[in-house]
Amino acid sequence: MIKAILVFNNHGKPRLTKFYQHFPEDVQHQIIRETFHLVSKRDDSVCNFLEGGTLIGGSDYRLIYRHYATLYFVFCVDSSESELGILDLIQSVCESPTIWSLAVKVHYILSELVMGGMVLETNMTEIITRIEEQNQLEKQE
Amino acid sequence: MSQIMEKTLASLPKLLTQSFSGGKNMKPTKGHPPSQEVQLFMKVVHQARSKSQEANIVQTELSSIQQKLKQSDLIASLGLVRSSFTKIIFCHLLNYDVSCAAIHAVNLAQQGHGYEKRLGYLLSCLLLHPQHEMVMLMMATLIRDLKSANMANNCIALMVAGELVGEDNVPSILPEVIKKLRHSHELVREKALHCLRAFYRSTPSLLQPYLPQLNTFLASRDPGILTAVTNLFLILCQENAARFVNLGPSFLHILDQINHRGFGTNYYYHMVPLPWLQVSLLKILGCLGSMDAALGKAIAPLLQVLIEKTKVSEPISLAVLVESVLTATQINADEELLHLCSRCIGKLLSSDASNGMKYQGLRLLISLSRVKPSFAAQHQMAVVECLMDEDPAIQIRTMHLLHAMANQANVKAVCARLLEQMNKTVDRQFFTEAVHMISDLAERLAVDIDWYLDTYLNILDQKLSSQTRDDLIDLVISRMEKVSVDNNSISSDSLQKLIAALLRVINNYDSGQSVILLSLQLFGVLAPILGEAFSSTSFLFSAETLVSRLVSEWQQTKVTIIKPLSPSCKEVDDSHFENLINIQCCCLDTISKLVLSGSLQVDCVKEWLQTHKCKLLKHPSVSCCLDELEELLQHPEHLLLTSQIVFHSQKTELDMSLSFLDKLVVQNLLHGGGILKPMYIRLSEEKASCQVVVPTSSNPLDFPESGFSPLQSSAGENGNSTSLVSSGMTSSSLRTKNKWRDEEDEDEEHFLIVGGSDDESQRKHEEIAQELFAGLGEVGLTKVIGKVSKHPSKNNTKKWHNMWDDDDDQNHEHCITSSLGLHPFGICKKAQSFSRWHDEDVENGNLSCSLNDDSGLGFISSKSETVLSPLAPVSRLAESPMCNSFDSAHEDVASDTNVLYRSCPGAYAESTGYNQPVLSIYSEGFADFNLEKLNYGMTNPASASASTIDALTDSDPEGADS
Repeated sequence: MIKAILVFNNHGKPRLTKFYQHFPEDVQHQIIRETFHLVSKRDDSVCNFLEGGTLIGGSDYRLIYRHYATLYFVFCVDSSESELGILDLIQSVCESPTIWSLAVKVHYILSELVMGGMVLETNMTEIITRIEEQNQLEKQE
Repeated sequence: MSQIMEKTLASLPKLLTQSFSGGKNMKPTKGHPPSQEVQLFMKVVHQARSKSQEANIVQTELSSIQQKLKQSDLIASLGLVRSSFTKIIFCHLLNYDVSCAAIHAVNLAQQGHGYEKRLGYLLSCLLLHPQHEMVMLMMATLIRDLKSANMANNCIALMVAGELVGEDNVPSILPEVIKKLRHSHELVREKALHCLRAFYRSTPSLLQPYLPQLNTFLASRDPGILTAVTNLFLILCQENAARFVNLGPSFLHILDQINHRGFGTNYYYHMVPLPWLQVSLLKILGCLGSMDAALGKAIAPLLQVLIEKTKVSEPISLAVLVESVLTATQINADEELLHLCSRCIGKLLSSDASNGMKYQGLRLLISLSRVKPSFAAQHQMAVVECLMDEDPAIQIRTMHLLHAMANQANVKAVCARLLEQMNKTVDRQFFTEAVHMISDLAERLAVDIDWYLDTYLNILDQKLSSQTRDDLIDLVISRMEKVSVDNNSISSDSLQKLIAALLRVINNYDSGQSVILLSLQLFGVLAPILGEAFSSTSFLFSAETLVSRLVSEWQQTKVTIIKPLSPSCKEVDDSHFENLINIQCCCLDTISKLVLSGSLQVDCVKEWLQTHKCKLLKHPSVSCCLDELEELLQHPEHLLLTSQIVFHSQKTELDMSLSFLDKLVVQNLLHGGGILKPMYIRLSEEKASCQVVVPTSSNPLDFPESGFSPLQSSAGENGNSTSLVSSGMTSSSLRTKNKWRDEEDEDEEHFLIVGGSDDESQRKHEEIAQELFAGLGEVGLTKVIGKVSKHPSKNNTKKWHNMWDDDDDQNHEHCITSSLGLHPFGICKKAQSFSRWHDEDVENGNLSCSLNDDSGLGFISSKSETVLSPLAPVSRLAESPMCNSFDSAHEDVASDTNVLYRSCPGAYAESTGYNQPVLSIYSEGFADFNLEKLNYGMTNPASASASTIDALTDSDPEGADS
């Protein structure tokens, strides 16, 4: 299951954080700091998977990340999640930079991609249909 | 980029400008890209020059928003509400504290409609969590929205309920959610299932009565519902697979449907149909297949198709492939499928693959080598390369692999690697894992006592937490106690060495405190069997230097403590003092024990105490120990009773089952607590499946049944039994030999073998491989430089073209390694995969040149059967864990060896062959053989005996040599 999705810039400043398991505020900040520390010192050529980190789930805890331009996209997952799948998911989430200009929509899209820490069938067109479906429903009011 | 992605990208702007803000058909008053005001605010924030400036802007804006929200009616001023909430969410995104807006969000969710309601819910989800007090306020709203006839409200409420409703509130909302399972629209049913999954995580017991209802959803045709219900079943199966085994065929059917294009192209993602659902299904099938052999058999063909047919063009298809292999390793698959997996892993590990792929390959190899350790040996060079990789993540994974494939033959090399890695790493998490892995290996696989202690001394030399340190010391002490009780298990020679080593540790100024602590305690433990081996003067001398050293350390720290210290520094010092005191106590304790056992003369000790008493620290615990010792010394007549003192009596009246705690344990279990498993048991459980040659033993702390047995069987026995078997069984062994080779056509292939290579680094890698892969089924290491083959592995040619690409007319003899057009993920194009494949043929092919004996001799041969590595017997045995069946003739042989083996328990000491690697490896092999015989001693299908015979006969020429 996905425990958290973190997006921060090259300086470790968070741009989007979403936790699917509740942590107190200060722990959240600590997780972000530690994750940034782990990820930022890695070369771009090495693999996108990381073990270790003691905060979220001990040895069961993986980091899967991608580094795009100035942003790090990090998914914290437990060992039951498919690592390669997540890697691909990150690619889909961040393929469009325009997404990031609108805060509200990011969360909507994210909630269509991942629900309660589980990845739903991801397919951009599918998501768009879903969202439009919901909008249609709203119109019916 | 795929067409779908292009389409997606093209449609995104549309999505962003229209759908969220109401869609193109909305009235202009409602439709809006975020208002001018919001855009302006975002722009200002983005243009901020410094962090503090940005914070300033945000804070000012937030306080003004709060003012406005307080004053105005939420519903009356829609525009204001929208822009304010959007700004708040934007600030939250930038990680500013906006918790003050939570109450407004809750209100908006309650009072708003449509878009506003969703905004309210969204912000509530961001700011609240299940334990938050304001969730109570949300409950009424949620239930109302669930009851509403509006589908949009139903959906959003179900989503939010899944995120925000915690343990306490589930009962009140559950009935409504269950009702939604029968809603007419798929979307609502799907969301209800997601919501139930979230509830199941927090309160599994409440949902039990509703679980049977879920089965019907497996027949659904809607991928959304299938995904939701599969994810829910995934949790259920991981908890209790046995309960859902009967659903296996349904899951299999769904997976089959997906792969037969049953769900239309709408659900393709990078050309893969429903990949996430596939991965979840494969996980479930892995769980269920491991429980039920029939189901496992049914799954196997589908897995084979998946592994063969999956085209690795995108990471997501690789994800499905990896998951398929993982499942295949869980379902007790047959040889053929496992070989397929092994080849697939070979591709992932190939040297031109990207790091990400190697990482995945290692993970699969760990899982595969748990099923059958010999598979790891097929990829030895690749693994060694991973070991040298610069990427720490890959190094760590490789370490886990080494741990998984350790056996008695390679345990020393593996531990040495682990220790080396442990010293290098900066990752605390891995460090602790490594400590546990090494101690696990030492406990399970240690072949001799020197190495065992040495390993522990090495680990204890590291910076460990005091808890871990004490645990480890306890482990060693309890093991050594057992050894010392069983007098025969240590020869006087090795005891002498042991004592010398321990004294060295104590005398060494650089020794860490935990190492000294352990050494001192060990003297106490060994006291009863020390006898003449022990020189009292040298021990007392060491004790003296130790005590004086402690005093000087004590004084040094005292000096530093006078200076003002930070709290953390003080903590360190406290633990340092504690350690010093501990060591002194321990030292006195040990002296008492030695006096009691008669190893130290009372007079000597008295004298010693007189001179050095002043050096002891003034601390209650130390004085206490000192008093005890003095008391003992003053009544030497008591020492006459020594003969009656039983050290470490097995009959001690200790309630080791801790039955007096039963009540507490039961209480805890009733409250839902898990069953405690100590780390070493957990580790050994993980390893249980890959136990190769380790005899079963009720207590994980025991050495294989008779002390350090593997080395005990003497050279004479080997000769004996080998000749017995070989004389009788030569003919059959020749016939059966092939069965245990990897390639069936190996005999038809001829190799030109050249031992030795010019390339230094290559040689180094090979040496490492030799060490690490000892006893793993492959014959040591081979160097095949030229291959003259008339039959380019015909068996597999056709099949394997499919795995990575469809082009059938590639000539695999041509190795083109240019890397054109690398995929972003680093998936290599055809040419590369073919070159790899060629290598693999070589690797999997006949292994005939062995450089594998420790004395460094190389055996060069052109025919595989004639020369075999000395490790062959061990490895063959390792390969067939059930080689416990013999027909009557072998039964005799086996029992012969057993008798021999049992009748000379001291053989270890006398065996001159111990120092000769070849012999020691042999004796290992035979000890294993015997033990397995002892433990299982029952008859099984005759096929298994072949390997044993094979091994025995193979070993003959070597045995004669030595």
